[in-house]
Amino acid sequence: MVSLSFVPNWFLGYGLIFELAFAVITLAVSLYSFRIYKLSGQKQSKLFGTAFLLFSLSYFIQLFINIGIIFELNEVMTLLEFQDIITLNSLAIFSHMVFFTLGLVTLAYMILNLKNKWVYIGFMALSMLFIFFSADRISFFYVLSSLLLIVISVYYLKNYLKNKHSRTILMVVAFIFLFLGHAHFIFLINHENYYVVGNFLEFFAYTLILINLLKVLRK
Amino acid sequence: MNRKRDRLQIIHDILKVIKEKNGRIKPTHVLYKSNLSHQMMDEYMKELLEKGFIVEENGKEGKTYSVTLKGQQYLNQYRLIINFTSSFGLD
Repeated sequence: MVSLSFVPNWFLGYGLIFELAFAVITLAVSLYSFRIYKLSGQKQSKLFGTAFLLFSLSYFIQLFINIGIIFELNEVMTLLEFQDIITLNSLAIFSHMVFFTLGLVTLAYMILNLKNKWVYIGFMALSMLFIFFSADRISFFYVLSSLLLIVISVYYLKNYLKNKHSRTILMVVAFIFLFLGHAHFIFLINHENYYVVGNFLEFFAYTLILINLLKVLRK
Repeated sequence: MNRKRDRLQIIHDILKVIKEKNGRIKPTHVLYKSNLSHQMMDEYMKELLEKGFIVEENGKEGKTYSVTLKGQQYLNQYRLIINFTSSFGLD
C-alpha cells in the first residue's frame, strides 16, 4: 500500500475509528446544546451547538472520504486512479480544515461575547481566505487553530477560577489537550509518528467532553 | 454567581412568580415580586414575550401576563439548563 500525506499506513484503519468517535461525540454535544437553546432561548447555547456541529461535520466528511480512499488503496489501480486518490485525500484534509476552523471561530465568537454578527462573518471570511489562498495551508491551519484553542482554553480556565465548578475543569483540560494535539504540528517535522500522538491527545480531549455531557445527563 | 447565570435565574424567578399567581399577573405585581428595577423588568418581559415564554392579555382588569407551555417547559427543565450551561461554560 502506498503512503498518503503524513498518516502512517498502519494507522489508517485506527484513524477511522478515532474520526468516528470524534464525529459522534461532537454531534451529541451539538444536539444537546440545541436542545438547551430550544428550552432556554439562550444564544450561547445556539453558538456552542453550531460550533460542535461544525466540528462534527469536519470529522464526518473526513471519515467518509477516508473510508473511500482505504477501499481504493487496497485494489490495484492505474496512475490516473492514484491521482484521483491523492485529490480525494487533499479534499478530506481540506474539508476538515475548513469546517474545524469555522467551528473554532464560532466558539471564539461565543466566548468573546462580541454580539456583532459582522465581526463573526468578517472573522469567518478572513480565516477562509487565508486557508484558501495560503501557500502552506496545513501549517496555517495548525497555527490558526492553535491560537484559537489558546483563547478558548484561557476562557475556560478563567471560568473555572471564577466559579470553581469541578465540572468546568474538564473543559479546561479538554481544550488544553486539543491545543496540544494541534500545536505540535507547527514545530515537529516527523509528522508520521506525531500524527498518531495528536489523535490520542484529541481522543483524551473528546473523552473528557463526553464525560462532562454524561454528568449533565445523569443529574 | 456570575452575570449570565443571574439572567437565567431572573427569567426563572419571573416565570415562577407569574405561575404562582395562577398563571395571571399584573405588571406591577411582577415588578414587586421579581425585585427588579422598572427598566430591567421591561427588558425581561419584552424578552420573555419575544421568546414565547409568556403571553400578554388586555382584559377588563388591564394588562396581565400568563405563562405559555414553552415557559412551563423552561421552569420544568431549569435545573438541566443550569447544569448544561455551567458545565460547558455557557454562563
